[in-house]
Amino acid sequence: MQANDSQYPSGAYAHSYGLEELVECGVVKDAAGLERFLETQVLPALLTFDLPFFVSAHEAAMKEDAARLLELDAELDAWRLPAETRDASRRIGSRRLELLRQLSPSALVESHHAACPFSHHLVVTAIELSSLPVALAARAFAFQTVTGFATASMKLLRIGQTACQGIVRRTLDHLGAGLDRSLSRPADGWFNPLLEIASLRHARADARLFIS
Amino acid sequence: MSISSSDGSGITGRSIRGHLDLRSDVRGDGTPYLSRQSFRAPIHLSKAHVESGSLLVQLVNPTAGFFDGDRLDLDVTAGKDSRVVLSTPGASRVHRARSETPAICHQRLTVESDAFLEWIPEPFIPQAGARYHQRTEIRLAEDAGLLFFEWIAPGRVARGEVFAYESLRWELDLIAADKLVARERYELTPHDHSLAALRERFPAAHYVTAYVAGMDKESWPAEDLDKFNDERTYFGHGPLTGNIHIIRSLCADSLAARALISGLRTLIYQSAGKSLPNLGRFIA
Repeated sequence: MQANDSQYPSGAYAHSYGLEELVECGVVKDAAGLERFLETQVLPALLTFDLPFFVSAHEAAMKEDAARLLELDAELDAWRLPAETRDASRRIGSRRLELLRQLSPSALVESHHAACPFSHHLVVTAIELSSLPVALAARAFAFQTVTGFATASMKLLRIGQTACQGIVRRTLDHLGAGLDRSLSRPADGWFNPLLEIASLRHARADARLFIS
Repeated sequence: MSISSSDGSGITGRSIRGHLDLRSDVRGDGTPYLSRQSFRAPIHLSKAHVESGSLLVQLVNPTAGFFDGDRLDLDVTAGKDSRVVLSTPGASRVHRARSETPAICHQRLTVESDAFLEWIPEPFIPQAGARYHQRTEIRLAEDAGLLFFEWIAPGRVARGEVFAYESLRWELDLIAADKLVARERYELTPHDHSLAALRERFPAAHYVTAYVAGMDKESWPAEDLDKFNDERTYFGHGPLTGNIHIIRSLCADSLAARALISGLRTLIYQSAGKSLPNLGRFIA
């Protein structure tokens, strides 16, 4: 619960993960557009790629398999094609890893930090939540992803807190139906050129509110 | 060309299993040539010739496209110091599947030290009801050059077929100096949300992507590339690792896609200080 606290200083609040550019170019214009974007593009990516990949990282963390965690961390670079997406994931991951060293130190945390201090968010979260059953840990990770977009949207769109929470609730309801099935599948990709282009363009924008 | 064989290759029943095996090298005077070539339907080769310092090879599909169950294995190597351009004179088509079995294309491209490979096919057109699975593995030496395009059309738009195919499975691994640099896996089908990102910006979007290797950061024409973004082309580009870059775009229609690819080729060759090989068709 603490890891998902909105006050948890991971630096995630400074990222929109490409949403800022999608708002700027008119693809996401309002609350309905945000909900459609989450349902048709973010959730499928979570269910086909991020959550199955998270299961592999969680398994490695439970076994304290430091080498496998490094392997997965390196592979994530190849999946996250826009540089800004890779960098955002590593920035947030490194902040969480530092916090983890202070709040919950362990031999695995120290060895991972020594080998890869600028680690991906997904891998660090898997280490952080390795004491939880994977079904719960995956839900926590998915929640972070959905609320990351939702929090950013409030600075980008005319959308109130209540409306935003309504979108989060319905999105999580959609997610719940497929989440457990996704945990037993191998990680596969999801086609989202729109978000990739948005991230590539955001990195070169003249003015921007968010880091990503 | 064989028409049947006991190992399941060749034409068996309603499907064809073909291959292309190519290698380019350079002669003592620096001229590139095909040092190895073997192919079988559904692929045929044009007579290779040197164009602006590169060996230009056209891959022809004489069977008018892929049908379900067809399989094609391509293995292309640009040998040390050679420059080779592979293209197709016409669109690649996949026809409506008559069974659950997809047409399959596995392509392995290898670029050795100081070599350069350009892969620039005409559009891939998946027709209504088509099933197709493509797997690409690209292996680059540390100092290899690459310009690899992919262009996926939404279907036969003029006949009203827009995203009417059954399923496209796409897999790509780009490996440079033995390190995995890019991995793509996706399946496109009208039965889930996988086409949402394509439809969101343009209702019949053409997808154009490219991987470019061998240009250092100083030569990468970032500001000129930014100009390709307009009301008919949603365009982005950026670095992967080292001297490898990615380009992604969604285009409103085939004319926008063709204009983009033509412009990209010209700009990238120009920025690399190389002469642009003329493909002898509309994309010069």
